[in-house]
Formats: sequence, C-alpha cells, structure tokens
Amino acid sequence: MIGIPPALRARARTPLLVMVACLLLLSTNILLGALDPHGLIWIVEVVITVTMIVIILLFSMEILEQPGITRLFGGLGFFWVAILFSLTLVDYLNR
Amino acid sequence: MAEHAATVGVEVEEQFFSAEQQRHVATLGMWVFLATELLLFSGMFLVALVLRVLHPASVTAVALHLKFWIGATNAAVLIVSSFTMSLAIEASKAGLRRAMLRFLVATAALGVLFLCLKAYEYYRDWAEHMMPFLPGRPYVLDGDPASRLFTNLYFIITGLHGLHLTVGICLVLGMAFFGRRAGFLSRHQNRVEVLGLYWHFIDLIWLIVFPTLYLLNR
Repeated sequence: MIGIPPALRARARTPLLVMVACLLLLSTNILLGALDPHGLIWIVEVVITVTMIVIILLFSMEILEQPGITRLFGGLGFFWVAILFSLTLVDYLNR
Repeated sequence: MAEHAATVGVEVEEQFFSAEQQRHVATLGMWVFLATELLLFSGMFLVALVLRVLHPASVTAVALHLKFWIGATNAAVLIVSSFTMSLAIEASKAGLRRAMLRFLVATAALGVLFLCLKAYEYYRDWAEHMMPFLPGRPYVLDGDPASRLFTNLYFIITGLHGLHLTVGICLVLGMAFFGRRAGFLSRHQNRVEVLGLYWHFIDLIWLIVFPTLYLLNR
C-alpha cells in the first residue's frame, strides 16, 4: 500500500476494503443509472445505496463497537427516519 | 525515515471519572448531533420523494439537466476522503503524528476538490438557466412550474451539504493545525475519532443525495 507507513499497513486493511467495496458499489450504481436497462432498476439502485450506508455505519463509523447507549442513539435516529418516511408515504401513496 | 510512535491517550477533564468515560461521552455527543442532522436531511429527502410521486415528469425533466457525471465523481471523491480520514484515525491510535497530519491534510484536500467540482456544476447550472430563484434571469423549464420545486430543492440539499462539508474541512484543517503540537496525541487523541465520525457522516449523506437527486429520477 503505497504512501502508507509500514507501522500502519495492518490497520489500513479494513478502511481499504471499505473504500474498494464502496467504489465498486458506486460504479455499479453509476453504470445502472447511465444505461437504465429496465424500469424497475431503481430497486437495485436503492438496495446498493443501502448496502453502502450499512458498510459505512458498520466499518467506518464502527457503530457496533460503541457502548450500548451510543448504539441506541444511532438506532433511534434511523428509527425516527423510518417513522417519518412510512407515515408520510402511506398518505401520499394511497391518495 | 520511520516515524516513532508517540504516547496516545486522553487528558481527563475534572468532570469525568476516567478517560474511558470521557471518550464515551464525546462519542455519544457526536452521535446525538449526527442523529439530529440525519433528521434534518431526511426531511428534505422525503420532500424529494414526495415530489417524485406527485410530479414524476417534472422531476425527470430536472434530473436530466443535472450533471450526473459530476455528482458521480463527487461521490467517489468523498469515498476516497473517508478512506484517508480512516487512515488519519488509525495513525492517531498508533501514535503516528506525522502520518496523521498527512492524512488529515489529504482529507481536507479531497473535500476542497469536491467543493471545486460542485462550484463548477453550479456554474454550468447558471449558464444553462437552471436557477429559477434568480430574479430577472429566465428559467429553462419555465413552462413547467412543478419543476421549480425540485430544482430549488436540489440547490437547498446540495447547498446544505456543501455547508456541512465546508465546516468539516475547517475542522479537519484545525485538527491538523493543533495536531502539529508535541503531546497532542497523548492528551486529545479521541478528538480525531470524533471528527472522523462527522466526516464519515458527510460522506454517507452524499451517498444518499446522489441517488435521490441524480440517479433515481433519470
């Protein structure tokens, strides 16, 4: 790994894998967006985006290594977002 | 020449029992802040989704005017910047002060690159008359009133994200400035980790902005 001090190389493995995984997933999304092969391809694009978010939360932000109360706050943030989206969309999608 | 590892730790403030407690409180504080930020951005993502449901043709017309490849390049730039930020954190944990400074500066430089690309994108939007909020300047989709809503939302979301990124760059450069001092890592190592959480969050938000505005509406 060019440019990374030898003492840091072992520690750099996870961040490197995260970057490569996110870049590959992003490339897939870009390709799907540019080609637009099917009307329902947005489902795949959403799944890929959610996968990237989960990777960043788990490995870059290390949410699972935090104390319980911190995990609770992180989870509550997304829980509120889920309530916000579900209640609003139930209204708009059923009009 | 290989860098010698410095002592790593946290100077315990008087209100805390231990360094471990102080670390947890600092991290929890940042996560609480990020949860509020998530709600702020989520409200706007939801508005984008509702506009898509109500006015699909207008939203697609705007999305086809957006600079897809600049948005995509910026997503890649932020992913790489998250990598350099992670390396800065790992270097701080290992006590490698010089390496940490190098990666912090690289992170800030990638943030500046993102802002430069964004500024160019805004310039192209201006040149193509895609700024309906400018008085006296014609709007290219003037015959489509609903498209104004999505175009304005695009500028609000990307502008707010740009503001967060600008704050992030200032904080990273500030951390690099204070990190130059000997003994920084022995007293304030956890600050780099807390700042890293904020930077990763900015990256995460753009990874949602990109599909929400550029990708899904094409």
